[in-house]
Amino acid sequence: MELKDRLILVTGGAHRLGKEMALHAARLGMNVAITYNAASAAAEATCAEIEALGRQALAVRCDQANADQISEAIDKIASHFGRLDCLVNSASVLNQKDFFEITPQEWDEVQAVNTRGPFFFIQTAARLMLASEGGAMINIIDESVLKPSLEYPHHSISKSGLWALTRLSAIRLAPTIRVNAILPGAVLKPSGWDEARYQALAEHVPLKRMGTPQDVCRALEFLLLSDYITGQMIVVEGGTTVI
Amino acid sequence: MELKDSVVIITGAATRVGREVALALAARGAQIAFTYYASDEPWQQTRAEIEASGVGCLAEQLEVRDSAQVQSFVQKALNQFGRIDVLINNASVWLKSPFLQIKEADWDLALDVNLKGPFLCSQAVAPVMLQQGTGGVILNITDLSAFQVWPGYAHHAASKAGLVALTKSLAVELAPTIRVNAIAPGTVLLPPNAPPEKIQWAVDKSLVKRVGTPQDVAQLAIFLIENEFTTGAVYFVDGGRSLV
Repeated sequence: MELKDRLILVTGGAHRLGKEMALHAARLGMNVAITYNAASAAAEATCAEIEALGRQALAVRCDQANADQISEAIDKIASHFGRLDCLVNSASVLNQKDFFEITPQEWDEVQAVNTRGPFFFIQTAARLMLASEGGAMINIIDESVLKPSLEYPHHSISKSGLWALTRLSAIRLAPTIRVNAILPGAVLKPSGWDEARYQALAEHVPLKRMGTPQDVCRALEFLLLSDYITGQMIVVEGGTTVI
Repeated sequence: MELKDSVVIITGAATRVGREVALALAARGAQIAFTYYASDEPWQQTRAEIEASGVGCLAEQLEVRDSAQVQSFVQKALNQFGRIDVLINNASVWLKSPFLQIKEADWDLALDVNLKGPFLCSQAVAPVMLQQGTGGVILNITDLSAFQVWPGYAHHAASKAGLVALTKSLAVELAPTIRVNAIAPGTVLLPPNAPPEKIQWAVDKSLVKRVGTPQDVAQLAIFLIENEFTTGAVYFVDGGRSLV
């Protein structure tokens, strides 16, 4: 699809990987809306960087555990830009917890943000996109979909749900909207980790290095442009899920 | 990996999808060494079009099942270009036969061309890439038969599923220097004489309601060559066909 002057929404686009993808989309000539939950200063800074690239930007506060806030966010974007062409479900929580210690509340919180939120973003965004020219959606999953993570059990399951949602909505929204997933490996140091602890992980990556946000941005660009790919995951993890 | 000035070997590239991938890579500045199987294939035309992009080109007749021929072709490419950065195992036969009527020779032909060929080519090229120390990329062209059941293609499906297993094995064994991935196209190029009902069938089978193009495959090949953090996976370009 043609990307110039189209509108992309990146959930969780204020910082980290979401921000990198939002900026990459802006460099491709797209206007960009982002959602944020708590990071309002970071969201404003990201918008300023997008505008510095000569593109339009809008930051909308949205706690996506709340479906009403999702439809309000889409309404705001629709009235501001009058269109929506692409959606990137990037917002996510990552809570470490042992299998036996997860409470029902913790389970619900993770599912609400990582699976239920993307579902209602897709549902409400699809109504808007189907009314215009269609477009593309990309869901950010992770390695836990292919290799269950015992440190993050409820997270693994929420991302597996997002992968199921990817395939289901690819079928339901075809041929007008393509829906795909990107499975990044470790491409950005978790906050609070020191460099040595992070780089030590490279030993477990077949390519013997950590990835970069740019690796994921390339996959994003590829999926936005590739009109014959839908319902797929693009794996960008240095081979970790092969072993 | 940067495509400009890289050296790409692609098998079975005189015609059809292989040809279009070769031309797309040549247009990005890659030098191309390609093989063809039958001397009546329009390989000279393909070579002329590649050279018209301003890149070097080597075209050789090759039986991918023959290890001596494979070794000699790889050596020729190395002599001409001095290095090898990418290998695309594209040459393939497409045999159809009900299971009970598959002859031993049919089975051998499918497995030898579609699986042993990539094995021999990879084994010939990988030492060159490892020695260069600047990385390398191997792309194996499999198809949906490795994942779906198509009656009448047991030998074909076994060969393409084997190619997926080979892809993953090589990704692990040749890491971190060489990245190895597979591409699984759906219907991206029908035979030239395809009847309208066959075209309609392919459109209906896809979720995006069109037949793909060789350029869709070329775009994916370029992505997998350039993206340095991908290895060991199968990437589908099938318009969503494998979902339904």
